[in-house]
Amino acid sequence: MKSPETIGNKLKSIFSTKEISLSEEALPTQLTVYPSTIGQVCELVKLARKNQITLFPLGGGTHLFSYGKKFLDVSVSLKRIPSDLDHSPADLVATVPAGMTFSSVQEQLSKNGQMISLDPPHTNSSTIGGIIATNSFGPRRYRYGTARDCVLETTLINSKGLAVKSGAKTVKNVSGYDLNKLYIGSLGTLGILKDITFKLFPIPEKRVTLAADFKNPDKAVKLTADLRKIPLDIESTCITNGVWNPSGGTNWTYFISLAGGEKAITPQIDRLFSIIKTSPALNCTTLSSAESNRFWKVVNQTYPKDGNNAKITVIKKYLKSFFNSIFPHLTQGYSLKIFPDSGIVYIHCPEDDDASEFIKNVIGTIRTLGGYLEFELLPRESTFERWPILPSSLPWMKKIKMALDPEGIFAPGTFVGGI
Amino acid sequence: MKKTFSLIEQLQQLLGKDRVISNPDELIVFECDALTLHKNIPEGVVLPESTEEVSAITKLCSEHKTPFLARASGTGLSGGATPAKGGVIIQLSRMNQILEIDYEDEIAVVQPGVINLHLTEAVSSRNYHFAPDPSSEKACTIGGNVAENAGGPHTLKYGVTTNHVLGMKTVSPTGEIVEIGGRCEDSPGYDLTGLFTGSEGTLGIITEVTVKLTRNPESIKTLLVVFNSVEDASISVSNIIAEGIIPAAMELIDQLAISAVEQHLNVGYPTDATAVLLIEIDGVATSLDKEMKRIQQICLSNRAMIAQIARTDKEREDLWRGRKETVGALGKITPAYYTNDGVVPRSKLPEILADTIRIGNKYGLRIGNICHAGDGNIHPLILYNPDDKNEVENAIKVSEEIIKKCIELGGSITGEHGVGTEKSEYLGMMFSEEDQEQMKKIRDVFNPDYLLNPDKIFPTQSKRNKINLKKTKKLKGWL
Amino acid sequence: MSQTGSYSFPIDLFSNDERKLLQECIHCGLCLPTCPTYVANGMEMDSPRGRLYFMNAALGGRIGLTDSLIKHTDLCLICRACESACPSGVRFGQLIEKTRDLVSPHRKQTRINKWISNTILRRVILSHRTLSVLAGIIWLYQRAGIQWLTINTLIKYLFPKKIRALQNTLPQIPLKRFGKNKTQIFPATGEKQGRVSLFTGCVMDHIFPNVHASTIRILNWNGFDVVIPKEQTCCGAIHSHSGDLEMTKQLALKNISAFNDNTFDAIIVNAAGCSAQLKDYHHIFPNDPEVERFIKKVRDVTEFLSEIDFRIPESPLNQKVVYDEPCHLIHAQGITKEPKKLIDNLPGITLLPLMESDHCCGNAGIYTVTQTEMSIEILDRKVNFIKQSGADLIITANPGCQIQLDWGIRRQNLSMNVLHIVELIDSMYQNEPNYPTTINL
Repeated sequence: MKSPETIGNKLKSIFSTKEISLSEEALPTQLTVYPSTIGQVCELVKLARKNQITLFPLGGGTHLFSYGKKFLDVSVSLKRIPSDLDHSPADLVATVPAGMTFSSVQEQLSKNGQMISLDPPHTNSSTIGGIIATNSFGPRRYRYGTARDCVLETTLINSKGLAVKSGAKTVKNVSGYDLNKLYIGSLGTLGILKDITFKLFPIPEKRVTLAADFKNPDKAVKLTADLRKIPLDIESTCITNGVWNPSGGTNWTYFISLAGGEKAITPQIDRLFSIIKTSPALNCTTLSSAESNRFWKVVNQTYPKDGNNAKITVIKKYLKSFFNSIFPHLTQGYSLKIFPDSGIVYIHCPEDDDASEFIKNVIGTIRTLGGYLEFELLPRESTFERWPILPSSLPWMKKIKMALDPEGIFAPGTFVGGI
Repeated sequence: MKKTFSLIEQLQQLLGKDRVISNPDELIVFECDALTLHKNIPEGVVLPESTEEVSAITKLCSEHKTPFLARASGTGLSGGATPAKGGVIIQLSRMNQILEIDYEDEIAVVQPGVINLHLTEAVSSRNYHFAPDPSSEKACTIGGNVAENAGGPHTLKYGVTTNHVLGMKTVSPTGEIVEIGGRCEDSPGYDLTGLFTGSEGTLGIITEVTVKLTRNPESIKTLLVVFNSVEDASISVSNIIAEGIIPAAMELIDQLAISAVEQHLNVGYPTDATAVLLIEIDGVATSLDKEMKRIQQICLSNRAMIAQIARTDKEREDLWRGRKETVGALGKITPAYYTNDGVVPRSKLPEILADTIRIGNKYGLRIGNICHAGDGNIHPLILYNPDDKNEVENAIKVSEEIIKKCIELGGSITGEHGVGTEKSEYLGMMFSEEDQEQMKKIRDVFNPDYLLNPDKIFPTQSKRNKINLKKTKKLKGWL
Repeated sequence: MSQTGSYSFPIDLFSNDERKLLQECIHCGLCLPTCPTYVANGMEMDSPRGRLYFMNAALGGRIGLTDSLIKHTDLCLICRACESACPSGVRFGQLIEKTRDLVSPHRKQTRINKWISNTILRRVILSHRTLSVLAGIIWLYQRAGIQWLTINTLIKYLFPKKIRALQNTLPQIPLKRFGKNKTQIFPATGEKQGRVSLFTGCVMDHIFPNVHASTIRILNWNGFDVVIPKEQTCCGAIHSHSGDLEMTKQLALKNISAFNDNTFDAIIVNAAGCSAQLKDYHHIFPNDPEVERFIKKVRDVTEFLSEIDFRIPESPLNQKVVYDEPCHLIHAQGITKEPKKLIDNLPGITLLPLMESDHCCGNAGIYTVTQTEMSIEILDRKVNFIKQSGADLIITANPGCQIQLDWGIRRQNLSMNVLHIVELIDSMYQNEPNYPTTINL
């Protein structure tokens, strides 16, 4: 690693001093650049390649992993590149510059009654590029899937500093390899996303959220299977407790939201009620729209800043066994957010020895059930690997990284298995 | 004396003589898939029955530096299963077992040779189906669907194959067995499942696939709308989409295609119509009426003459049979035709269809149009006489002009048939040298010697892939 | 272009119409999964598309009349399932029969082939006297438990090895044949609805006389006089399938003249293979008005029963059944709903779904004998699906299928019965007063 001065001097050939600053504490880099044009980004990559400078593509910086140390050279943020989204309402398609913030994009799209189907945990400063590079999602995953289901085209600044395109601006296209899939969730290790084209969806006419409380999570999970048996226009589901539970207390709350035409949704509320009634739920409420906004905000926008925060994926049908196994070890102060129809669980627990012991148990359970765990946050002193369970195809992923970024300039060492 | 065994001999030792085809007379049937444009005879065909056998085969082929590729039903329309450089075809038709169906997880694990519709049939009693529904669903295999990222009419709402694949077992050209993705919805690292889907058999040979099963909708309504002009029909499509209504399927069929279908199948399309739209919506019963009414209104405001909802399952099935067998039926009214698979942004549908007809007229060729209208995916069928040299040349020109027009309008050269050998020379219309370079780097990771399905997707220096209609008597395909 | 064969294909023998038919194949592959031989071995050469490709290649002189062409042509069952699946309406059956006819002079004549084409097809099955003698021998042989004779005595020199191995395929042969060597008339019971003739064929008279008897009884019971013209003969399907077009023509002419009687409302056939063949006579004699008149009257018995005001049996029979569809009914004649509806309307009968009920059982005339291995593979698959269905009884509508399915269930030691649809209906009428229980054969 080079000193900030040496790098700073080199950067000056491309950037004005206003565009270069010292990186914030949380970032793994010394310096951060804020290019004003894409041309600068391309030049930067060429410079980095020539001088073995490592780059860290930076989004809003809102959900950074707790790297804890500075081991990379320059963060690159596209936030200041003046850009506008290219929305074609009649096609339900929009091309969005990576540096635009998620909320501003959604706001603009909503003028035409359309939206990007993703609903990741975000703040006003989360960028589209960051959301795609981290493959973020939220409870609407139930209906719309994830980024891989709505990204049509990407432009990426590759390791040669050239903009490369994959996909097309049409909802259907099979020409060439679908490299979009590689870039989604790659944490910036394959290049810097320049812009992304999305397939859009109409904003539903009406959304209704129901909340049902349960004593423990496995009983709540069981309701998921029952929900499938009855035709319902469900848009999102989530089971939460702790910090993610807006009603507080020790209960587990199952949120289900129906979305669609007003006439269609109203009769479904009763149907949904009747199913929940047959489950061991303690109660069930239909939320007013103000309440539901507030509730979803807590569920979806609470992002812990410290402690251990882990994303767990298990085979859907083993969710119940998973909870049976970990439930006895859950103590107060631990929070969970469960996406029951995807087999995904977020666990947040504070920084202490008990928590470490608990996490060890969790990892063991996942290993036996088949699944994965990724830490989104780890205490500074933690000895856990960010990805303790690795996929068997890791050697191929390493080869992909080698092929697309042979000099290792894009965020080396920040991805699965040390990629 | 030391004798080195040939590749065929070694394959015979591996699989037994019964499962190695090397008689030149027999090999001719493998020279093309459903695209009869490009032909090349393989040196041998092998029929493995397990992943391990596939692995042993690829290893042998690699050792002998012989090209090889996977094939199953050979229903593809872009030459994806054509042995462009000869070599060995790994015929996967015997690997046709549904290994597991798990309703709790809503997934199935299948071998690549399982026929698309057979999976749906196997789960239909439990009210599930496999969502990708290419018109060849009765014959095409899931391995092929994954390799080509197959579409179909209902992809408008349900997405294409890639949206329904969770993981797979693949065999690398050197015989390594690699499991990618899995049964979990997310797995860490790069999304290799997404990369492999649609890679046209150039990155590895799929020997097992884990797919998602989709719950059947509670209710389905199918609407047949009759128009006096293609323009009115295509404007209706664009209006419906622009209003944010996304039907399960929205298909457009024009007069020429309608008359062929009615002559041959008699499914109830009005023969005096200039264009019909087949629109299907599905979902929770209570949500359909309003949407259907709105769709009917939009169509009527665009001068639709009739907008009739299918009253019985039989009527619905007939309407779909007509659509799915249109291309076959067209075979009855023309000695040959050439199929195009261009895509345009959905609002550009009226424009491209008008252009299609204009281009056809310019060259004096009839064009039958059927399209996955809601997706902007067109399938103009250019009718020509293979014995008329002039018409043959014009057919190529028409197709090329249509593709160029699609690109001009911001579209794609192929929506669901794949690039294969057929459109490899057109790839440059969409992707710059550097875009292609990025893709080739990925190919080189998995297929470094380019022995696995060579001469596909990317332009080749040779002229072999240049469309040459003169050499082919028949230029038929179906969609 | 390699010319590997020693013959060039006699292309002139394909008519222009047939060449056009061949051109209609768009190589889409929709036929593949419907083809029992492709399903069994997964080889493109043994799929309809592959076989058409061979024909085209041979026509163009790309391949000669080689062993492999003959092999794959011969392995076809001619079940015509591919025709039902074909979106372009290629008449595959007609093309493959023509191809067989063209290759037959060049076929390597094995002992068995010679024996079948010269002895069986051209002599034995055309003579009821010979068939009677043969049936008598088989009857004796089956009853007396003297199977060992084949191994130890001279008999083995009479039959090729393969036939001896296949002796188990045969069901129990009754001693008494159906029919006499004169025209017979069986009058209607009750109010007369019409007058029909019955096509009785060749081996049916000897192996399944009961099916004929049942057919006559239920037709009589539904108000039809049934006439059995004496001069009729084998329909020629087997000859046509094995490529003996000359013999096929002779037989067709004989039948057309035997049934040339204006008083018949219909010519009833209870063997799907025969009804399909009779309806195909216009391919042998195109544009002949007499042939057209003949064909117009031919009705498969299941088709006929669904056209008339059918008398529903009064007493219910509580049985779970599956219906295995004869290829020559569903694929060659497009008759599939009629028999199912007929069965489903019978009181007490539950018709269960059967996987691949539209796939061939592997009998296909003499296929069991000529392509035994493939035939068994196809049969076992069929029987496995029947086992899974949970039925107690198998219904079909063709004697060949009956023989094959019966062999299939015996191979797997299942205790099930196989009945022709007319036998089922007949047995349900038995309890009704005045129903003729016996018939003077």
